Amino acid sequence: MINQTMPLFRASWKMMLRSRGVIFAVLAAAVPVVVLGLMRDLGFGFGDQTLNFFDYILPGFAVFLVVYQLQDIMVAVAASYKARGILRRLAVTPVSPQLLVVAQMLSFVVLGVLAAFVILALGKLIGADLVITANLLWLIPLVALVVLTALAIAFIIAGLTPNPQTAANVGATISFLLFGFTGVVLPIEALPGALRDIVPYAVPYTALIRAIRGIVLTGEGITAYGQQVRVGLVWLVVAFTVAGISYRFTDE
Amino acid sequence: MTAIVGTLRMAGASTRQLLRSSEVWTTMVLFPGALLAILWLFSGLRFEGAREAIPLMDLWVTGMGVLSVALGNGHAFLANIATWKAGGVLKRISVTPITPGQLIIGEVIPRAVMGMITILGFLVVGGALGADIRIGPEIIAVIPVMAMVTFIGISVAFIIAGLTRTPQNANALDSAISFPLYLFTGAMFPLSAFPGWLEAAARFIPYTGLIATVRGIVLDGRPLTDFGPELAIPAAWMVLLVLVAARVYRFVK
Repeated sequence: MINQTMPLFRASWKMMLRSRGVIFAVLAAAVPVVVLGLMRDLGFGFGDQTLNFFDYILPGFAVFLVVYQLQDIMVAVAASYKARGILRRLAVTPVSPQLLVVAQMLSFVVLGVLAAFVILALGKLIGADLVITANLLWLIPLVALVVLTALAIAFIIAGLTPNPQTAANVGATISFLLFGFTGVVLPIEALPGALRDIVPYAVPYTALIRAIRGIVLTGEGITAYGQQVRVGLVWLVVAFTVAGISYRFTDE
Repeated sequence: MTAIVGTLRMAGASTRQLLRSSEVWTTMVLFPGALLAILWLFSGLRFEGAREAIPLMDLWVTGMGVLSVALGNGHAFLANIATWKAGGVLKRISVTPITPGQLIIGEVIPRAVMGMITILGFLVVGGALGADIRIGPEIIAVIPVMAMVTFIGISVAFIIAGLTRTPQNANALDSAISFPLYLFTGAMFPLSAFPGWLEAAARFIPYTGLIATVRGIVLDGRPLTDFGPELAIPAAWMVLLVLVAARVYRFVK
């Protein structure tokens, strides 16, 4: 199994690095960070609280901008596999369709984690108030969890939509809503009433982004965010279960 | 006379097609509706800069609303004209009684009208949900500004379709251009938060002055005539973009 996966992973990684779309995705995530870093005096106010805008959004941006692009790409890839029957054809070869998808997901996870670190490093260079400790290494599994959940959601979208065009529209709409409710840019604490308590559980990534932000801005370890990690893991399991039901690798 | 009737019939057919298209409902209803819902829920948020504080709702309803509807409209129009170019549709049309110009005008009219209706609706609903927008006769002054926004968007679409070989490349180039516009035009963040040099440079982007004008009209109740410099830059852009579009997007060989 591993003997088959590794060559596929290497091939997938090489192809990804050659793809202009993926390189653009990473560069496109870096540009807004530089621009936002120029607005050092801007604050986010709600009630009597004020947050430094750049410090607040940098950790969320580091994860979400790349995840958004990777989810978008995976929706297109999975929908086109489905529309063209690629996985059905692959099923009659010695390479299983599941293996192909796992190899592709692995390369996206590695890219997502690397890109998140590049963006955080860039943010730090232009003045973000990040706390650099060994606890930053906890970001590796946390970002990987976010990327994996996003990729599973991409398969759900591709599985439930009839063609790649509709999949792209639905994917863009879901990403937009996630952008609003995951605390990437807009603080969940500013939501009215019970929503601020419900949203971290009800929206995928929200809890994980909170943990990532906490580790990056305070230097705390992962043990301070046990609840957020548990919520993220539940979302990952739910997303993969639904993806497994909705996206058919073969007709059987 | 026959040409005008033919163009209007093309516009009527395009309108019916657009109203049946899921892409139009997504860009004109679903996205603006989702954005308004998000803004309503976060209506307690405000940007606080060294020079000013502005509610997120006011800034995004007037900035992101205007830009996202305009760019969404231009993006959908670009998909059409890039496909026409790649498929040689206009070349074939040129040997029929309908001219390529009529086909294009027939497509531009309903898109421009729908874009303007959506933006006005967006401002009105935004006002009803809590943005500090003046809903009165002054909102009519927004119409010519939105006509300029739409015109610029469509001209840019022609240039992109002319410069690229395939609809996929056209789509990628359009996305690459659109994203920075949200950052640099003041649509999402107050321009006053930028360093002075960047704030000054951003004023030369075609949409910056138009967004500032819409804000001035609907948030501060100022007349359109107050915005001479803000409108002069996009007006110059319009002339330049039309000249470039006419040169790079060929209807026929």
